[in-house]
Amino acid sequence: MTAAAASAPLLSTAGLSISFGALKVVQSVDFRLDRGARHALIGPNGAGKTTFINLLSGVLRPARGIVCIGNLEVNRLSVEQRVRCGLARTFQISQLFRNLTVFENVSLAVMRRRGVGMSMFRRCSSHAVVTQDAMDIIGTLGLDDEAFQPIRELSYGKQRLVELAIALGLRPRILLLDEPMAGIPIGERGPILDVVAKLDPEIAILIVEHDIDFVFQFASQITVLANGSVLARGTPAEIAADVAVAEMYLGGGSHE
Amino acid sequence: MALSIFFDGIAYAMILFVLAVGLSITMGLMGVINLAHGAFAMAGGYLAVVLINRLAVPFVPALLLAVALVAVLSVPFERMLYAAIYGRGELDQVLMTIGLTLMSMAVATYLFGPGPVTLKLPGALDGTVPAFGREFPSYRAFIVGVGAAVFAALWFSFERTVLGAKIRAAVDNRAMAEAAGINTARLFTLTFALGCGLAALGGALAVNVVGLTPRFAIQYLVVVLAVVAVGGLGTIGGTMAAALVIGVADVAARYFFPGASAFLIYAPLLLVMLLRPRGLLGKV
Amino acid sequence: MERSERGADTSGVSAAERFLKGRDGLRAIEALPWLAAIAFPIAFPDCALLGTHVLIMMLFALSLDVIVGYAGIVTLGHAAYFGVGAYTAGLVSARLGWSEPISGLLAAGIAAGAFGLVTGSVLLRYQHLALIMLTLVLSTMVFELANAWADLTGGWDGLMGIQLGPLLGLFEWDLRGLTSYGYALTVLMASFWWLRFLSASPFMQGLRGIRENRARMRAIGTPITFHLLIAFTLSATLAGVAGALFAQANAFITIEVLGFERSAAVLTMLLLGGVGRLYGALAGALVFIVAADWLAKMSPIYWEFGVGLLLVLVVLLYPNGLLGAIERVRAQCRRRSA
Repeated sequence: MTAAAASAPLLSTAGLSISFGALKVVQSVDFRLDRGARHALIGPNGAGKTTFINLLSGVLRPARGIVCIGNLEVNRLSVEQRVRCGLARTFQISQLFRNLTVFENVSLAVMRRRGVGMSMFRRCSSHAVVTQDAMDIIGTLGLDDEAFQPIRELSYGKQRLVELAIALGLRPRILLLDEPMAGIPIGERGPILDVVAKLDPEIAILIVEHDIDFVFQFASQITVLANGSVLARGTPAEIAADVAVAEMYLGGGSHE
Repeated sequence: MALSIFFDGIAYAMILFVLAVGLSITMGLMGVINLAHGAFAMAGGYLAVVLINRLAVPFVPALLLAVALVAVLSVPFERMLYAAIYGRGELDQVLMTIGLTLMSMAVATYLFGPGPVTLKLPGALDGTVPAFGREFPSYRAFIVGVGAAVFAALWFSFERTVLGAKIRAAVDNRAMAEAAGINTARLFTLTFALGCGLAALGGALAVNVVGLTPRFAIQYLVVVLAVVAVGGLGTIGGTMAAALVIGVADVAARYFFPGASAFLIYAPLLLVMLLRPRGLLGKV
Repeated sequence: MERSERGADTSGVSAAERFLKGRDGLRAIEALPWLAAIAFPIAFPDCALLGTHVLIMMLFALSLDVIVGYAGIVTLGHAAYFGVGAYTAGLVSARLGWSEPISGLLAAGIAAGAFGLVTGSVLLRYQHLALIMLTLVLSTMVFELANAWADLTGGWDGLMGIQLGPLLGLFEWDLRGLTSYGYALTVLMASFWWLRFLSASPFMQGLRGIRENRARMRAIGTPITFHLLIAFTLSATLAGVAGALFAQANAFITIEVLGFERSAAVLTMLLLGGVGRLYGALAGALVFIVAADWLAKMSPIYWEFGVGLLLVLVVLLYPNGLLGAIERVRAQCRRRSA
């Protein structure tokens, strides 16, 4: 019983498919993410990676197939209901509250997790746990100096960190990271790489990323998506050795 | 009886179409909520009155001149005022265009007084024309003709000309159109002028049908916006369909249920807008 | 700058507490407008009628600030809720003969709130242009319904026979309008301080989040439509209370209370004062009503032109309204002196 529960994936899909018009964007994808997983989703542009994230998080509904969180089929659950099941995500294009401060951005997520998002009868300042949690996350991400600046005044790199901080404010069991380093120059990725590397090992992480060096170092499992279907999956070593992946994705050369 | 109500309804529908189609195109293209469209229509109406009644310009040239003047007049408005609010929130757009409308109403009251004015129609348009074995007011027949001509001209130019193709492309996807090398700033100015010219034509045609007072600028705003919404933004066929349904229904309701007519019109309109937010003919 | 890990943490929390205090805390200067409002009828007893009108429109503008300023939803039909409140209070007295004012006021708030709940549950599924059009058409429909049902509402001729018993059984309604003024001020203060408290709550901060970014708000688990519906109902209730005050203070209403012009006017007041800051609604209503009164005495045309010009200028030059402009000037002064 307990062994079965332990081996049940936190997040899984079976035969997941969706089309936009005649274009099959995601085609019968089977996927599983276990507790503490470090799973990377790679593939060329237009392979359907972000669409897959949108199907998992509930922004899109699949045409066929199912999404499960634990043993629960969540196809009919909305985005916000899936969040309550412990699923959080970040966005490839930052989705922040631009005129609010970093602290307020993170607080909104923490207030939701603590179940006080609709509280009308107490001030924010009397929700001390919310303040504490939010400042903890801000401290962990090294954003103390910017905590009370509005997002619009932050550098792009810091904004990407806030993107992550909001998701962490939900203290998720499952975290979907959609290109967390998108748009940050290679030389300035240090802070966010550190944060991602040091995330709680209990969290199951699915990361979409183009930085192959990072992916091979970070992930224990890799799924390669091409034209909406799974081209290959396995450990970094297996993917590096995969001929089809090498031909299609790594431009014919093997990865060292 | 039913036939003449129907005919009146068609004439009213054509006025609604001409008033609404310019708004539909400009809102579809620029994404700006332009509540001052009625002000440009009113300007067209008063200009026509001045040209015809005071300066004795012949009827049809006067209409064309009024349209051209309002179109030209709209260019500085677009460049100086509207261009500043394209990227801004809906609240700013709503309030600035309400502001323009209020100013236009004050100016109209100052120049022409609060009372209604009418156009002196030429003899040919003042009588009746026979058709289907009865007599129809010839001015309404003229309006139906103009409406149909405007519809045909717009349809043709949207489907067959480069400008039309550019507008359709920019309505669909502005970023893509800009990437394809379309100068959207100039396109906006041209389209805005076209939209205001159409408003002016609608305003001038409406003078002797619904009456022209300084309140014209907001009196027909709701019904014109409803035509735009029900027709679907940026669609010519949809706007015509919506104008016909609303125009005929409005006139019929006014005849058969004089007390409750306006309510009877708005209730189904609301329903259509709720069920088909992208317009009668649009995708759900 | 070397700090222990633990020390850095607590300093972060206390900095956050300072930030929240700065954002939500009460300031001494906030007493000023209320002292002025209390002093006003004593200093100018002959202007109490105008003052009452200002107070009522302040409440109406406040109600709109909840959804326009905080939640970022633009509506062109808020007069519908003001009007439902006004007619509820008016009809209860004129048609049912119930003359106790406070219960009439509560009935109006409940009726307008219920109407807001029902209409909001449909309207709030839409956004942007569609929502603006729907609010416009819905309020026009309500207006036309009241017009068609003139037997009941009095239509353009107005609803006659609104009669009120003395307030709390103690205060008779005097001709100078001092009782009305005190009544309106009490209701406004109660509503304002409730909202002022609410503005510091997670609920109102959530509305700001919805205004700033809906996609993210949903992605952190917010049931957006439900959250907005509560705010909308609250706003409609307060608008209805404002409408009821209007009906009771004037003892007369026409269907003008439901009209598009009133919806546009209240939006104008809010923009004029500055949205999303509560005090903007107060400042905007004050300036708007006083200016309207003053300019309209010269000529209604001046008033129409003046308010139109003001709107265009505010949108183009001072998008944050009068209070926003004052803050900007103060910030510049501080920078210069620093």
